[in-house]
This record gives sequence, structure tokens and C-alpha cells, in this order.
Amino acid sequence: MVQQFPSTNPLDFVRKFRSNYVNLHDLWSGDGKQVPEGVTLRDPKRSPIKESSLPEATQALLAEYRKANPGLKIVIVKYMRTVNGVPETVVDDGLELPPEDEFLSLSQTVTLSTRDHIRVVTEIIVARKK
Amino acid sequence: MAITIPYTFNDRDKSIEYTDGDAGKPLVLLLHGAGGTSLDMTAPDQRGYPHYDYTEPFPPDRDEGWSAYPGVGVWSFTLDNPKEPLISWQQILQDNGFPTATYSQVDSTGPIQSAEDELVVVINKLQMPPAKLELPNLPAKELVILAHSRGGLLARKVLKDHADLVPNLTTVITLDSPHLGSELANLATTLNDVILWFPSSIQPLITQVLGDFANLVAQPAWQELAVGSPFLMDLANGEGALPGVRYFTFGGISVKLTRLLSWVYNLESAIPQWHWPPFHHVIALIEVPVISPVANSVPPVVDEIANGKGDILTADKRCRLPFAVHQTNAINHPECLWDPGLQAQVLSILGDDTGFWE
Repeated sequence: MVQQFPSTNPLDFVRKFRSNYVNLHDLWSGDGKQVPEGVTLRDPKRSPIKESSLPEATQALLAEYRKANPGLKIVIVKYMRTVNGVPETVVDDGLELPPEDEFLSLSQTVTLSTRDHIRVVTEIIVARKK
Repeated sequence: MAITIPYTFNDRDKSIEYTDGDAGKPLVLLLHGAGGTSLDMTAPDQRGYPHYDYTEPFPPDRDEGWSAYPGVGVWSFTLDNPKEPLISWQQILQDNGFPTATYSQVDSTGPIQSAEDELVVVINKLQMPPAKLELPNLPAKELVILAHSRGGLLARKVLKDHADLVPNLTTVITLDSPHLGSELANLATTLNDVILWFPSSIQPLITQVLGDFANLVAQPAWQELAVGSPFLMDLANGEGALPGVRYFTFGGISVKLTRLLSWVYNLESAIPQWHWPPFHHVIALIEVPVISPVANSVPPVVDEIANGKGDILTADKRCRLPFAVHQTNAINHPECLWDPGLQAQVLSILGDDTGFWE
């Protein structure tokens, strides 16, 4: 049985992503605010997100996109790693997301499940393309 | 309003459900099929027959909220919603001024003989003078028999064995009655094989749609209707139209009962967002390719389950009588109990307007 799945309009998705976005740096930094326990928050200026440190499959996907769009400059601006849906590492600053025509997101999810254990690790990368 | 006319058969107290009508119109005696009850003719939506609304537009996509894991693939399988309301034969005839009578046949899954004996009792009861029945306005006038499925063979059997029983009979109309038999009775496992043809994960749903049919064809009532059975041969032997009686037969050629539908995640559900949990699950309803609709997709082993030839239980070519006018409709077997197009055709016969046959 070959199943067909409904497609998602890319622009609609980018707009949803942007409307659901919350700047975690602003949410957790500043007077009287604190980073939730178990979460590491870093500033990309102090801890730049290197492309070479991204998961291999993500790097391959990015390389494929670059090949299809030669001359494009891609700068990674935000990174989040969640475990079972909860943030573990966040690299974010006070800047908003890139505008929708410069927006690019990448992700990878890996899972492990047994009869008594489930672990879902997701890495989300936001980049600016010019 | 329905009136109850009591009668006794085989020492059991039973009743005919009678509805009044216009004085000049014939009484329509409604006979249900094998495995049925009087509800077939009065409230078919209460009988559990498949009555899915397979023309209903799909609902909008559904927001299932945020999740920690990506939503990928099939969320669930489902069938079409029930079609409602269903207008029964009793209701449509009553709305058009026809008095009706119906009852639940004895042992409706058994051989036809006891049902024949009971129908003789019922017809005799309906021909009693109104005063004896202690009922007002019971029309001792023209009678029409409108029969579904095996009910049509029951009518033929009674009329053949008791030709003088109903002198006021004017019309016999049979709806998808397998006058020449049903090959499903010859191959009793066919409908079960059809269920097993579907992927195992879907079989419970398919059983919900076809299970009752599969059970029915294994019953003695249906086995008696095997093509070439002694019962059918005996019934046809020497049978002819009763003088002055018009015969109409209908056959169905649609095996479509329901679409097989699937809620599936859209692509958005698999892409994480800057949110926790990161996956926004949205599901959309689609028709499952290849195996939907049910039962159009199954291998047409016999004409009864071949779209364009049968109606799930009977084949159009085997629902004909040599002395009847025949009409073929693209509806399935249970739809005969509520299809508005068929009801309009029958009403035109009862109103002597048979223009639709041409």
C-alpha cells in the first residue's frame, strides 16, 4: 500500500515557525529572570555555532542546499537541542529570527526506545541566508 | 402513527405494524430480507447495516497540539460517517399517503418454509374485515407487495403455493432479490476472504463493514439461495405471473459501502520549531489509495461483489424474473432500504407513472 501524505506550503511553515518563536535569551536573561534548571543557555557571540559541529546528516543537507543555490552565504544564528521535548542546550541572543526571505532552518531528530524507555533528541538550527 | 395488529404464529404472539393512508391507495406490504427485522422497513438506521456517507466532503485539517516527537505517517484509519437521516420505506410511503404493513419474519436466518407459512397467516389477517380487527379504516382493498432481498423470493413462494390467497394483489416489486440465486452462497467463504484480502491492521475496520454480510451468507437462509439450489429450481419450475398482477424487479450494481480514510500527519508535524515541545502535530484526512473504497477495490471473484455487476450480496443479472420489468440502479444492497432515487422510482410505479423505465 502506497500512502500519500498531504504537503505543507513552505512559506506557511516559515510563517508559523516565526509566529511560534519565543526568544529564549530574552525570556531567561535579565533582572529577576533565570535559566530553568537543566538548561544551558549560551550566547552565539561567545560560543559561535560552528557548522562543523552540527550533526553529519545536517551538514550534508546544508551542503546539498548550497550546491543547489551557489553563491549563497549561510550564517547559523540559533541552535537548540531538546531531549524528550525539553530544551537542554540553547544558543540564542536577543536578536529576532531572520526575516522570512532570509530564513532557513535545519533539524535532526534521533530516537531510542525500549519497552520501558524512550529518548527523543532533536537538534534545531536556525540560519540566515543571503 | 403506527397501529399494532396482533396475530399468532406457531403459538407465538406476534404483531403487524400498520400505518394508515389515503382511502384510495393500495396497502403496501413490506417484506424484509434474510436476517432482517421489521426495522429494515421502518428504521433501517437502527439495524446496523453499513450506511456510510461516502460523498461527504473531508473535514478541515485537525490541530493535535505540540509534541516531543515528530509526527510522521499514519495517525489512524477510519471510515466515513453514517449517513443520516435515512428515510425508511414505511416513512416515504406514509408521506405519500400509502397505508403500509410490516412485521418481523419468524426465523429470518433459517430456511424459507416457516417464513412462508407465517406470511400466509399475515396476509389472511390483513384481509379480515376492519371490524374484526377492532381497527378503524383498515383498507380491505388493493394490495402491493414491496420486498427486499430474500423477501422477494418469499413473496414468489407464497404466490406460487397459494395463488388464490391474495385476490386483490395488483403489484409485486422486488428490490435486489436474488431470484436466480447468489454465488456467495455457493462460495460461502468469499466474503471472509475479502476481509482477509485487506492489510491486517485494517481488517477490524473492514469486518465492521462486511462482517455481518459474511455471517449472513453462511446462514441457512442464504445457503438456500445458492445458484442452482433445489429450492430455486423448484420455485422457478412452472412459475408464472399471476393474472392481472404487475411485476417489477430492481437490481443493484454498486459495491461501494464506504471510503477507507486515514488521518495522516502533514509534513509540518515532522519539522521541529523553536518551541518546546518542538513538534506541532497537524493531521489531515485522506482517502487511502488502492484499497479504498470498500469493496470496489477487492478482486471481483463473483459478480455479486464486482462493481458494475453486483450490490455486495446479489448480482444484477440474477435479480431478474422473465415476467417482470427490470430496472438497474447503481446502489448497494442495504441502500435499497433508504435510497431516495429508488424510492422515487417505486412511488412512480405505485402512481402508475412508469416513465423512468424508458
